[in-house]
Amino acid sequence: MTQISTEKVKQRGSAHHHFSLITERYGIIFVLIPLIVLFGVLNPAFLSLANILNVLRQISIFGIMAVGMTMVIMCAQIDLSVGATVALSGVVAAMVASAGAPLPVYLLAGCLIGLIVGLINGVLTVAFTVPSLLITLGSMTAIRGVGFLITGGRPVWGMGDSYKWLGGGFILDIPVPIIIMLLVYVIGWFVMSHTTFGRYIYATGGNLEAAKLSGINTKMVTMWALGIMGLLAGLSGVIWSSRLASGQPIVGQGYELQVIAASVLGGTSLAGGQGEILATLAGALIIGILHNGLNLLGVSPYWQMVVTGCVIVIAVILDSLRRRGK
Amino acid sequence: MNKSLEMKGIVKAFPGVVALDHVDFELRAGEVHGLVGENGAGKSTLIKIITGVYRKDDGEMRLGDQLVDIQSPIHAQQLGISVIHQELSLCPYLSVAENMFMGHAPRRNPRFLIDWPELNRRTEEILKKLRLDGLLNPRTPVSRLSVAQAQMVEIGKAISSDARIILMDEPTSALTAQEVSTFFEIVADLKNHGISIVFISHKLAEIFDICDRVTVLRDGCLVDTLPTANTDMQQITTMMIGRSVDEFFAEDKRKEHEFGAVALEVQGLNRGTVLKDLDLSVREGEILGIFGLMGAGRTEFLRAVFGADKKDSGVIFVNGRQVSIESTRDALRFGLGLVPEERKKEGIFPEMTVKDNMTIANLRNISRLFGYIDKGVVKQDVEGFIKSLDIKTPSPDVKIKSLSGGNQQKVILAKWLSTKPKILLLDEPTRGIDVGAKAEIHRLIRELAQQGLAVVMVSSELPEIMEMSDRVVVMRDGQFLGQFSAAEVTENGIIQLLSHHEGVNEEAVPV
Repeated sequence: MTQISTEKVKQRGSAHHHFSLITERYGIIFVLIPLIVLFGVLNPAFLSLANILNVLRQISIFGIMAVGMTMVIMCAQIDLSVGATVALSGVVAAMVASAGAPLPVYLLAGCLIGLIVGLINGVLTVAFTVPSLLITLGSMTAIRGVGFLITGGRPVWGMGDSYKWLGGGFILDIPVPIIIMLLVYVIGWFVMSHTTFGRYIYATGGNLEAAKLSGINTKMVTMWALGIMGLLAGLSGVIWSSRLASGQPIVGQGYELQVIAASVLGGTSLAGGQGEILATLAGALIIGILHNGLNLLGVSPYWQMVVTGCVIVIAVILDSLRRRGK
Repeated sequence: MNKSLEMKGIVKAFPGVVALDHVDFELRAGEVHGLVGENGAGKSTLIKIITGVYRKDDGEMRLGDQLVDIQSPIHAQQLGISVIHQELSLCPYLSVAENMFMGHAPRRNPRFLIDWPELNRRTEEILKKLRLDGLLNPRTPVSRLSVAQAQMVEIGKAISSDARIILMDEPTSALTAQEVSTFFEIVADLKNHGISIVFISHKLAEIFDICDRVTVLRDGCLVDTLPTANTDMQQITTMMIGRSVDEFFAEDKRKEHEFGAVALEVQGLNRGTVLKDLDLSVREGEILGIFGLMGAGRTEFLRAVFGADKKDSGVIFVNGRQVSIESTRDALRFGLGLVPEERKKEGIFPEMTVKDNMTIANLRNISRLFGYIDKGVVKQDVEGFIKSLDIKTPSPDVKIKSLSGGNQQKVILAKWLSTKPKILLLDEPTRGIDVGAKAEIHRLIRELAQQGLAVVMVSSELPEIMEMSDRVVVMRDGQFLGQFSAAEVTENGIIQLLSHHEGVNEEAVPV
């Protein structure tokens, strides 16, 4: 008699188990879908192709960076300097472009600057075993300072019309930033799910000591996570400056919080070791949809800020409750 | 007979498993009641129901004569139920007194102020009961205490909240023999005050030393509850694992085999005052046991060899060739593996799957270009190990934290085996693991040695060391005191060696 009941429980358990694995990782879906439905019902224009592309393009800048931030947070670190890096790489790319360089060169220049900044953050973090929170707290100001120094505090102009392509152009009628963002997510997802580096990030954040004892060079892993973060911030910076058609040393302020919010909304745990790249995309989408949807409804920007903040808080609480309920 | 706690027909189920299947449990006033069972038997679930961490799905609970439904740990505490966990739950930066009276410190007027003099006075009273007056200052931060002293503070905590029922989960796992006997005296005192104690332990010898009755659980069911005077270790073990003990121990006769070349040689290993000029060698196929008590430096020795800690000096040879091991990556490269002492803190990645835990050390070898991992290959390897090591898990994709301690340990073993090591370092490989899984792990270790692996095994359990080792090295205070071959090793011999160097004949009873 007990045998039968035990078997039934085990069978139920197996199906239950698979379902709960998926909801655990991508639970944010349960916030995203209702939100889309809600706004779609309140204003059908929300679901038009033009608007969808609009939303995607608006989230592309911090969406790209959220991939890097997810990796960094999963290593139980955080990067506050991304906004400053966006500004710096933007002005560098603009300066290189205004000297006559073609797209591949100025794009590379911006990305390289971002990578270097990220690696400097990374090296300082691991060499001195200081939380990157503190390192980037300092570097965010220094990096912005460098941006102002090399531009003399003024915007960079004179890049020519072709400069606008990255931020404002189209490939097959789809805005370029969206294509880049999707590419970044595909690569990010692949790295995290299918490569050793991805496994090492999960391990480093999941149990640092066990990772070290398993032969993982946790310092390298952390350093490169911060490096990739910088690289993506650099990429975003070039796109943004292209969109503005100028190199502005003052842009990007407060971006780090949006990026972190997107990642955390996607279920990335600030304690490290947990997160999913595709869920981060959902997190970025939620923020973008809120902004866009409320705009279409004519809601004032101030109310938008309140609503967005509340949604983030609620989503994070729900996620925590769901995890706790396991 | 006064029943302080009575549980009838308790049922508790989780997705995929019935943890408790109509279990009865009864606790009498002033008795020490042992609770034994393999990991997964349901002991910890039962404890959590008593202490209010879980709610029972079905069944009846009575305290005294009253029907109760324990809603939460705070509720349990209000009802006079206290628990001392295996992993101590004290605040290291607060004092002994603050920890002892956590949550119910005596107050002054106005009521939000703590009455410090009274707090310290009451703590002194309790310390007296624990025979610690004069030895511990109520103001000492807990971080400065030894594990044994910290455990006493935990007991003091239970006493301070006027607990009538105290549950103790593996309370002696970190105590020396001397500390254990003091601990038992205190338990006897508590008994005399009418406090009932539930004593959970894997150390059956202690169960028979201290408990009046013992309850055996197996696979979520109650096997039996017996007075300890009416039974013996063999019977209890049989009840726990469901087959005759002889079967288990019969398998353990080691087949004589030839040892190969020297696989690992360590010369002049030094690390501050922790490791002093240590020399060691192990051959292929040999199991070298390192025996010592806490603080001897055994874990530190393994970690230094493995490159996890920096050494001041020392030369390491693998298969006759001098190698430089300055990091764990080096160790891996030269064919070493380390199963660490503390599974949860250093061994597993709790939120990662069984599959990931098993393969994490070997990814470098099985991955392709750009670090791409072929999931098909991984699946095969993983399923192979699950089968060969008999790892009980619903699937390779569950989080490892849902497995029992013994199975987690097997996963960690599999992790290292997949790197095809030549030398395996094991630090307390069967700590906190039930009899059944323990025997399995012993068998696995022997098989590995027979296949030519050189094994270094650290243990603080004398019977285990003596049974498993081809050679036993005794360690104390960072030094190797001497060694015994399997043929000549005796309990007394080891103890003599240890006490001789201590100067005081401290341990008469093996741990």
